[in-house]
Amino acid sequence: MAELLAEGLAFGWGQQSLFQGVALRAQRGTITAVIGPNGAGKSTLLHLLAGVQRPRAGTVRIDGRDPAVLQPRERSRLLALLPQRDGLDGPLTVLQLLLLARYSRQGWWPFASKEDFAAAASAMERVGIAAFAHRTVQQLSGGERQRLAIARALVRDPTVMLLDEPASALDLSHQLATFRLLRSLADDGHTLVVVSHDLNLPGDFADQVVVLAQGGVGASGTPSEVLCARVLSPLYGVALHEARTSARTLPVLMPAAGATRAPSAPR
Amino acid sequence: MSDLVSTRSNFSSGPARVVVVLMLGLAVLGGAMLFALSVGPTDVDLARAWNDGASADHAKVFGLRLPRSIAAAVSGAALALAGLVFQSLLKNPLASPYVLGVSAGGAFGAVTALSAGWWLVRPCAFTGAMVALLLVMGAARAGGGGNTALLLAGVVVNALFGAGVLFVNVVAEPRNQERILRWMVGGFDGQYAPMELLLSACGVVLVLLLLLLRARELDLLALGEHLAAEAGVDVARMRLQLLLLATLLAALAVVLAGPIGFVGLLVPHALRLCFGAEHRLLVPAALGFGGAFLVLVDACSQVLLAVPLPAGVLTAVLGGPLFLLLLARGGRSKALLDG
Repeated sequence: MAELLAEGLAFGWGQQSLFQGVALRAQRGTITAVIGPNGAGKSTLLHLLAGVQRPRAGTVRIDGRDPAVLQPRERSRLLALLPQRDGLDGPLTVLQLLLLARYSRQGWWPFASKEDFAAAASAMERVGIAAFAHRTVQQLSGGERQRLAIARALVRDPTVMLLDEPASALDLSHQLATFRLLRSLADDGHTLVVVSHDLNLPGDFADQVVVLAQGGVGASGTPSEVLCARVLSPLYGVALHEARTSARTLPVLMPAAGATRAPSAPR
Repeated sequence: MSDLVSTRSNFSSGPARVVVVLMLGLAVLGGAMLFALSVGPTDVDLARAWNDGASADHAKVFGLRLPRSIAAAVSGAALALAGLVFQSLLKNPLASPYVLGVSAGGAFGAVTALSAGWWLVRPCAFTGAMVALLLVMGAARAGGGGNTALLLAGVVVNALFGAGVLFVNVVAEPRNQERILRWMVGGFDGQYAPMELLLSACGVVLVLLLLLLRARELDLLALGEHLAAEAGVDVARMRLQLLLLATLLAALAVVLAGPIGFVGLLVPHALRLCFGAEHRLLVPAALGFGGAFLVLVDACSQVLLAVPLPAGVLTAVLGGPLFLLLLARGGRSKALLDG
């Protein structure tokens, strides 16, 4: 059975339609990469999947349940939505923040239990921030903050994790480290949907790729089916060049400088 | 990992630390109350007041100063707790317990009663405060909910009731105008019925316990509503619950002391500097330290000048410079952290 199933999703404002007929099926233990040009509605799609925004049409089901109608605690246990910028600030330490993130797994007693501390310690070790347990958010680098965001989701052990450009503000080594971490989370049985602007990283880590473009799903399939110039050039409206290297099976995609052209089918 | 788990009490505030902070605050409050009982416009012998029930000192201490100190302690605790909740919920360090129009509503009720010569001043103040809260909630709901709508509704209701207070003051008889002015400044007299004090104190303790049970929600809401919702907090329901509790506290304080300023703004900031950001420590600390602050201010206001001052005058005079001092200290700590 599919873990995350979205069918016929449509969204827009007033007379303007952002996208329609969007379908997505993500199995347990997989990474689905959502790519597409700016303004295609990638972040909005994540919000619809998380149930924090309602679609104009269509349904979202996670293990057969509609996340939009779940109680907040239940939804928090089922899925985690990691926005591009979480706005986390203040004097609380990493450990305190992780214990608070356990809220949906706790009862009425307002103090953290042994299990909460164990889960926080395990999440910190998993993402590699155990040494920063007593630092505040302001004392963390961009990469460490990203890891903290993932740890805050991980600490409550959600079935589905929806991540909006988790590597966008990171340098190359932290981008790789973040996607390796996401791959290991998927291998542990979490279902991940990751919005990415990078066209190459998903090829190394994702199980399937969905291209959101021109008011709907422009293309979808395995990375080898989708991540090629023939499919993506018309969807992005940019001539793409494929470079082959011995380091990876898929070609490296890069824009061919000076060869920009209009999208083949404007929205 | 096992080290972290086994020594967890070092890293986050468990029940023992909460009890220690609560006891520390209550000890400071006890000391402040003893001081308040021993000082005043006239000298008293506390030992004689305790041993000789028929002495004038006994009448002064137990008939006048004790009820006054209890009222100051209850009001101070209520204002500190309410200020703490408002600042965390609205994510605004300048939010005071009166931001949602409670003081203006209470003042309108009290001033109306005073100008009409009614003796039910405190029930009228409480009714006015509650009416103001209902108006704010209604207006905020019509404005789409959210912190901004709440704050704007509070500004409007404050202005409306403020105008009402001015109107009543203008048309009041001259002999009532002085009573109105004294009430508006805020302060304490010895005229409190034991039942009135007992009910107010029980109300504050009950709300304290409820807030302690909601400490995690307060921590999460102080981080931001999106983060709280993501963690599983029912934000709309929880915010309403906490705002009602805080407003009830502010109304209790207004009823006992009038609209005393700066306590609800100043004390929570000072507590954050001393005890950090966890509400499971801040809430119990606010009880003792908030109470002690107002008890001390009230006691000092009685002896600083030849004429006893209303406590509200002293909180206003002290509040500004103390707040600036706290701001400077907070700024330095932040600069160190950022650096």
